[in-house]
Amino acid sequence: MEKDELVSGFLLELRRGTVILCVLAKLKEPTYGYSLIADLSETGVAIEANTLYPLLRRLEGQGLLESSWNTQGAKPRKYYTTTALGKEVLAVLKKHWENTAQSMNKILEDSDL
Amino acid sequence: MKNDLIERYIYAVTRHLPLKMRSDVAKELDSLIADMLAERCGDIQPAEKDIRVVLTKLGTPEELAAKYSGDENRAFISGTYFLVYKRILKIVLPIASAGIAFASILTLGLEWDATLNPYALFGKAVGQIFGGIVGGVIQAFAIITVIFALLERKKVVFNDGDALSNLPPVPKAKAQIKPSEPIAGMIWCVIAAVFFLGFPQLAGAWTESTGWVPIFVPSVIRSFWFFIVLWAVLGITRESVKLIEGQYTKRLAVVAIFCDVLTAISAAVVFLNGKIMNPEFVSNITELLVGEGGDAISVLFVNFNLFLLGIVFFALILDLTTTTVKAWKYSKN
Repeated sequence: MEKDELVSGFLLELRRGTVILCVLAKLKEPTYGYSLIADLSETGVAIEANTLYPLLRRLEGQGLLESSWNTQGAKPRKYYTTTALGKEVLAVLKKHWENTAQSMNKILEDSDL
Repeated sequence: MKNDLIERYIYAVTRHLPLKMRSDVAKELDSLIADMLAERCGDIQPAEKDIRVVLTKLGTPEELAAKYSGDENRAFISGTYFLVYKRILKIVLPIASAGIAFASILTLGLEWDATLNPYALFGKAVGQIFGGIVGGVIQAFAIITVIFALLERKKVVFNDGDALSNLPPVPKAKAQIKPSEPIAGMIWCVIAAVFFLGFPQLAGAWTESTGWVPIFVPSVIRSFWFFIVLWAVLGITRESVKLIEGQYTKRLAVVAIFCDVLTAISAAVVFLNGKIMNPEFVSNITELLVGEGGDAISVLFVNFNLFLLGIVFFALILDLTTTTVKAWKYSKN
């Protein structure tokens, strides 16, 4: 039980760092929040709505995303897209991620569990 | 799909948020909840139970509002501010208590009402002092808390510049002063001042023929109020410096010498004045004790003022020597 709690705590920290990368990468096409959740969960990244929605708003406030309401469908939905700044940030983060992933793989392979 | 429960939930979230983002968040949540319900129920009209499940999944309104406002892990005072805050409180609160107790005694002395009986006076004194301390401590706590909350908000940096060179030296274990010692000292100063300003008549002797005979003449003692206040101020100053320094230092020794010498001089002025002694006490005690062959004791009581002065001098010299010797010893490297 205690081990499970520890693991879920670490997983939460791991996800917190990667979720911004996911969002910036996925929102190159205008998407609304709930479809983004479905998209991500299809590729194996689970994120709760109550985490994603506030995060989208925060990234918009930081100028990495922009949003607009689409009222043409059955119900109004807010679509988010990555801005030019968001794309620049993503490019830099992506490089760092690749390096990190490479180093991590090497370390984990060497440890050979 | 207007539903009372959903509306109440959304309102409970947005009421915690800044005005300008409320309507947008409300619209967004409305469409999110609709999407979640659609996924859960498909084309079937969702039941109350489905709405409850979906809203529970979103978390309590407060949790969601905290995430939206970015205040999820924010504290009123946190991190390094909290460390310093705790330290300051530990120093200021005892000093504030002692200071306020002292001020209450002064007020008590100034508004002295001789018509009240001693018990009523005592009750009034205790009430004023403790009431004052409680009120004062709450005020000091509030002021310090507000200051630190502002520092936290403004992210003020304490150790600007060369922080590493400004690190204090590690105190030697024996040179450290436990906070309890100066705090006890302050309380002692306050008690002494209360006694001499307020209740000097409580010191005395009881004989069957005369009843209660005070040693001192209260009005004469009180006419020296300036010196009594001075003792307390000097004593509290010395103990405060002890508390703040936290160890025997040269700076502390200088303050202690200054305070102790001044206290000794002003104590001499009061106690060398023979008028503070109650003549009735002097004559009675002589008769009483001489009759029983207690010459030595009668000399002691007749010269009680000098005896007290001796005790005061002894205490002052003891404090002065220990402080200076320890400061000199431990400041050597």
